Amino acid sequence: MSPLPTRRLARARRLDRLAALCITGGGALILLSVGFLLVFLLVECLPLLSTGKGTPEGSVGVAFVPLVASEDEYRETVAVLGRDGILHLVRRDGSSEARTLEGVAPPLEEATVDSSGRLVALRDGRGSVQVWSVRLRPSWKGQGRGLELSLKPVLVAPPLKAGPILAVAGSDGSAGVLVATPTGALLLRTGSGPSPVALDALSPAVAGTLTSSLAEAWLASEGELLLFEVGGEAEVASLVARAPLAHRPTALGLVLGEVTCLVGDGAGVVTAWQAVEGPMAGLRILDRSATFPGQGAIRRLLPSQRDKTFLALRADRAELFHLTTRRRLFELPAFPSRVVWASLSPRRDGAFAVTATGQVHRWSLAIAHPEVSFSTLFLPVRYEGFTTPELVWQSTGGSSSFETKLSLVPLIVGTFKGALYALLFSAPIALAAALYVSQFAPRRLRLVTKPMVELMAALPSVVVGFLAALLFAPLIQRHIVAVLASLVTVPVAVVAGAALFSALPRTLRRRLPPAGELLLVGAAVAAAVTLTFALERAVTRLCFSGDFQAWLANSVGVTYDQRNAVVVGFALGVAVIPVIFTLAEDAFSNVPASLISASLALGATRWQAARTVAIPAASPGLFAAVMIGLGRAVGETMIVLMATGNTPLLSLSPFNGMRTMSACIAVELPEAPYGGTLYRVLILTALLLFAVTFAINTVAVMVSNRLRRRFGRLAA
Amino acid sequence: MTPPALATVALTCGFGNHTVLHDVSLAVAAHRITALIGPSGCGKSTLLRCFNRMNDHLHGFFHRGQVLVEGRNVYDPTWPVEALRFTVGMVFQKPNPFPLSIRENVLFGPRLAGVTQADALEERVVRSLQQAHLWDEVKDRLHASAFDLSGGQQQRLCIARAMASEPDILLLDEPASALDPIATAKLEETIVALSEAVTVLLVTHNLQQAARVAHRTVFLYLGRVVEEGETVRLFEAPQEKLTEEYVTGRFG
Amino acid sequence: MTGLRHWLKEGAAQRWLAGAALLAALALVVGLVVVVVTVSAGFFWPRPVLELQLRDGSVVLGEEWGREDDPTEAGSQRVRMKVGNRDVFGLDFRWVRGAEVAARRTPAAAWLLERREYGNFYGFPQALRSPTGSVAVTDPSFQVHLDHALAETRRLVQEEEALLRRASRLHEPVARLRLRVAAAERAGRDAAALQAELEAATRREQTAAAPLLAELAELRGRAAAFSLLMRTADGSERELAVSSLLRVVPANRMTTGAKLALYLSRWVEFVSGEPRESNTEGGIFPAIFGTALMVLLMTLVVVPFGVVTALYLNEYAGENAFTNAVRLALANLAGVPSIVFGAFGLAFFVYTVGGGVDRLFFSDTLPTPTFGTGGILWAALTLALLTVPVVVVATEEGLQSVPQAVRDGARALGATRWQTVRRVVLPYATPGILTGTILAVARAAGEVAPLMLTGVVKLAPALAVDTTPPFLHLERKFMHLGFHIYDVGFQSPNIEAAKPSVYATVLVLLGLVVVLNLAAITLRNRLRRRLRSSAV
Repeated sequence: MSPLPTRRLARARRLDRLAALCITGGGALILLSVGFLLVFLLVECLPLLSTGKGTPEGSVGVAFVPLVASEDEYRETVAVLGRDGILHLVRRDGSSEARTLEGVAPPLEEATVDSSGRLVALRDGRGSVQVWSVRLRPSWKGQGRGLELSLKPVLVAPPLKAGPILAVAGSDGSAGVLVATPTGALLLRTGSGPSPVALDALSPAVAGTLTSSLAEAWLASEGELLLFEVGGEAEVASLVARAPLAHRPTALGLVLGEVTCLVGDGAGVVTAWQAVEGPMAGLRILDRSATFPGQGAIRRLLPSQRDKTFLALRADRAELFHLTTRRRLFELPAFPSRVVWASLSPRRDGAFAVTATGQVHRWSLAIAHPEVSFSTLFLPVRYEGFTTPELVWQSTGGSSSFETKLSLVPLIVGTFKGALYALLFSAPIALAAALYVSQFAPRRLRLVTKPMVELMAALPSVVVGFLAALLFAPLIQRHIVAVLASLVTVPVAVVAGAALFSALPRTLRRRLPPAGELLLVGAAVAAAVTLTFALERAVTRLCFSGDFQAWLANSVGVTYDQRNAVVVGFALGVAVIPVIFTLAEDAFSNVPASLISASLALGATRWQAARTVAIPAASPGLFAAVMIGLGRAVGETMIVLMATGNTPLLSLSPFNGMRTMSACIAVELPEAPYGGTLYRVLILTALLLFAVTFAINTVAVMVSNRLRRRFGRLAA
Repeated sequence: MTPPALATVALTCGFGNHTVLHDVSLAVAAHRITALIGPSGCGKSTLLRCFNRMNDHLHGFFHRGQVLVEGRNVYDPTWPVEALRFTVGMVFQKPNPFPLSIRENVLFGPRLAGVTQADALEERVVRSLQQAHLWDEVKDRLHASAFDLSGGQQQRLCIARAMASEPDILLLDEPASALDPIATAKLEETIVALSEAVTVLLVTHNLQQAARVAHRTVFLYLGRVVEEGETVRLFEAPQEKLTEEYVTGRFG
Repeated sequence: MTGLRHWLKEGAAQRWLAGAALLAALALVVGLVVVVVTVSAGFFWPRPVLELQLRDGSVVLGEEWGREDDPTEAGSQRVRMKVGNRDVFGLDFRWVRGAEVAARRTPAAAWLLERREYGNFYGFPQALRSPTGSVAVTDPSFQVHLDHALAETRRLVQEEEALLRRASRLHEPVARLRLRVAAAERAGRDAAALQAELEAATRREQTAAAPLLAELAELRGRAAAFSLLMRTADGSERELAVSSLLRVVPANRMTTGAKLALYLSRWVEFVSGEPRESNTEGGIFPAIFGTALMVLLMTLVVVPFGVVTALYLNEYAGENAFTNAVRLALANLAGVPSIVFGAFGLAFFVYTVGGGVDRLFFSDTLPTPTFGTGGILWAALTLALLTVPVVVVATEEGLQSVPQAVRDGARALGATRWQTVRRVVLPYATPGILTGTILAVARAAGEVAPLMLTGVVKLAPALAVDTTPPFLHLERKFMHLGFHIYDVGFQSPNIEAAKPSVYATVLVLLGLVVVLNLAAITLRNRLRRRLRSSAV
């Protein structure tokens, strides 16, 4: 005996244990990766659910009676206008600096600020209405950032008999202020001379608002909302549309983009209105597009300058809402009483309020994705400028006030539309081909077929998509009639060929090798295709008056896109056929041969054996094959990216393109800023895609496992 | 007195709920050939594989009682299973050469044991192949693949491979079951010659083979030792009725 | 009626239909490959330069690149002419209606010039100007002079490129410092010291670069002295710098041998050259290189990972819920769309891991990302995750082909489980592992969607491997054959001009994938034969 060196043995055993640990760890790593992938994607899109929150940042006191206030972009200083006619710059640490508004006679009677916080309208002690430009600009002089205040009057009107100031808007060069009168309101503008424009509402306005171009003004009287257009040759205000209001309005505000006007009322409800084309051409009507219920009369409505969020100020509360999602986001916590003015910071990352007792309160706001909610993702939404709720994907627009439309429904529908057309084309072909190879074909043919189908599976989808889009799409467009007709004529010709074949004498048929029969089938197919294409022109002239596309547009009302669902169906078929074929072929060959032999022994023909034994026995496997094929079609990216027009339209027509979830991710995710709403929505799309394919695959695996168990027993 | 080469004491073992061996106590003397015979499923192979703990790799294996190799319990925690297997070699039913050359097949065990000197390795190759009566047939193609050998040659290569580790005991699990009669005869000749160097425990369902090769024979039936004794005695004058029925071919 | 029923029962029609389905599937794959090969292979073959005399008196000179039915006039055809001379006409292509053509000629004197910029030029050579004087085309020594001028300018251009490379290397420290200064200023740190360093570096660069610039001007001057005077179809003359010419092709006077040589040389240039003219011309070497390097990096990750997983499932795992979970995870990994991996790769590898690496090690250049943006490493890791199931499945097949008796034999000789795996099982399963690797490589070479998110670009400024330390730049973006097809075929402003390039890329990619797959299939069939023979 050769005594084994103990140390060597110990080392081998240690190594063995280490290897077992590593290899088991490697197996666990797969599980972990998939779990981590799922969890990570989930975590990345979780912030979408949050409506955000506001955190109080404390308050500082000032020694005067405040009227209005605005905040700088970096949330360092709040400029508070006191009743004493002095502008106080109040910093976070409580220190402040005072600047007098020259020529303003204290005490001020009232004041208001425009939506940007840069224009202040006031009525001084003499009753003069004035507009001042207040700008806090950051400056980088020396070390650190400082603030530079520029303060100048842009409009000074003589004292006039009129009601309270309703709104101020515009820019330094062209500012306007809306003042209530017993019959409506007056619009005072810079440079408009002594005659202000009258807005005639026949009753006193209680609230009003102005677009920054000064071209439109909204007024609310006791029970009515009115929209005026200001302009034209005569520079007059004309009433464009009006609508009754249910409750007494208390405040108006224009959401960013200045399309939607918010109306707050004494009952505590905020309604959103927009002017839309009425039933009579050229006439606009006011249409209520949203309602935000709540408790407590609205005192002011303060829209954000960043997005469609707005702050609703009530007697002792302030709440944030978002127009697109129709959601109440949250209420500002620890809101003080006796607030005289409150607003959102320019970057919508904070809010402030000043109280009659001279306290300046601040909040920081974390509202990451207010424009997304379950309903905006999956349900029809009535966006600004829309007359009905719709499902739209439009992630980027021209301007900063663009309302992003992130409905996933067009993408989901597009995905399944593409997959469905692909399956319609590929499932019958793949299943029938698998049936032929496993039940009827000679063994030699199978040896040729398998590698070819595997090669088909390996064709890079970018190549398939490229050919489909640049080569086949124009071809199909030119010969669409023949292509569609072939779907009918080819099977008919094949059946006819079979009939002819059966009519041949039996001896002659016997002499034909099985591969020879396939050649005859090929001849029948080729003949049918050739004939169909030869007759195309004549048929088109006869049935579609010479131009199928024109016929389609005129008679059916469907436009024809060059890259459409038919093209995608064919192209995806190339990717899907091998998947279904391979699995279906496996399912067929897993049916124990003894079952088929038994059936044949009872006198069944090969077809009867296939129909009564092989197909029923393999059916769960065939189902699984089609499911996996569906999973592949749903997830395919490059083919649909290239062979569809990639337009996120909600259309089921085979002659239109679409955009799928996968293509949308591929196109938009590289451009989406990290952590932004679009980024998270696209990650959510990826997660959905993962979930869908996960479900499809799991069902397929379970079904085929059941099949294996069933025949496992039979085979054993 | 030296302990028997192999022994079991009241060994009961099996897989899961199925007990294969019942209370088997057995002693195998050193430097002799002992045959285990019995009908299929009687537990011959399981008993054989107890001695080098190969059963441990099978699902649900359990055992009670003792398995002793040279008087030492094979489950002794200070005796690593790998060391045990260096002492107890084994040859399987079907030839199982590794995808290596003939030479590397033979040297598999020595290399595991850490033998590195070229002359020692060379000596092992020659001696093992000679012991397995294979040397003359393969000495010119030691670097050829083991798969190029015939079935009988492969099985003798497996014997050489087992012998290269210089075991004290060799377990043979129906080594000739996959071979033709001529290869079987050659193999039996080899086995007989081996008994000079090692103790051989041979499982076979071929009674003639047991009669031809073994010094002693143990008859197992339904997991129990029915009878054991010198081969000639057992075959010619069985004491148990079951043994007699089995060796005369009335069942099996 | 019963006849029909009987006929249906016999099943000839069903069998024929199923056969037709099989033929359709096979025709699809064969047709696709044949179409790619026939269309792609022809683009580089030299065509004659046609001269079309139009009825309005004008002349069109160029190559014919296809014809179709004239949509404006039934029954007649129109010809797509590649007229080149983009710098003169603006567009390379124009349609010529059949009715317009008065005469069609292939003038022997017409030449095709392939240029570095502005695409092809078609015209008639007039004279060659060189420092030693002007040689007319009628001069018998014209060709000799031209060959000399081409060789000379080519050498000068190479020298010029080498100079530019040296100059850009001189600039590198300045560029790096500038980034750090900018980052320091953004962060509000004191940048005065860095600023001074930057100024010093800039001065150093200027001193070092001055002689280079002088040399450059001298080289350019020498190259500019060679020019070729050409007459265009409309009779006007243009002088082209010889240094701007890649090839001079007397297209209508070529023998078949010369055509073949030109054809092959165009392929060589395509496979080994750099892209020009926003990828529509030139070669695809960076794309081939990027694909190969990315796939190589991926292989380094996926093969160990896949083999270990397969070993676990086949050699170590027990029959328990955990193993089932691993199998389910694997099945789903195989079924999850590749774009989901891309999204994960972007979110996790690029933004989370890459962003973290940047914060830890490259904070001085932030917010300009180093690893926190798409790169070849992240793309390779993403694809590794994608292709793990491929390797696992093939390796498992290899492992299953190892007879249990062989494992038992090794264990009975006193080998530990790991020794058995390493010395016997793995060598036995090598063909399976190799098959899996090849299939994974083929899959990765053809996959595009996840790369679009994790680091592929249309034009990479530099290869990921070069001569500046650390030689392998894993953070760099890269070019990829598949993405090249998508980008040039769909995003290119001049798709017609890009057609030869993009079709040739399709051919290269398809050839690569097909060859890899055929190799894998062959290998696997060999393995399966052994599996069958060892089971007997």
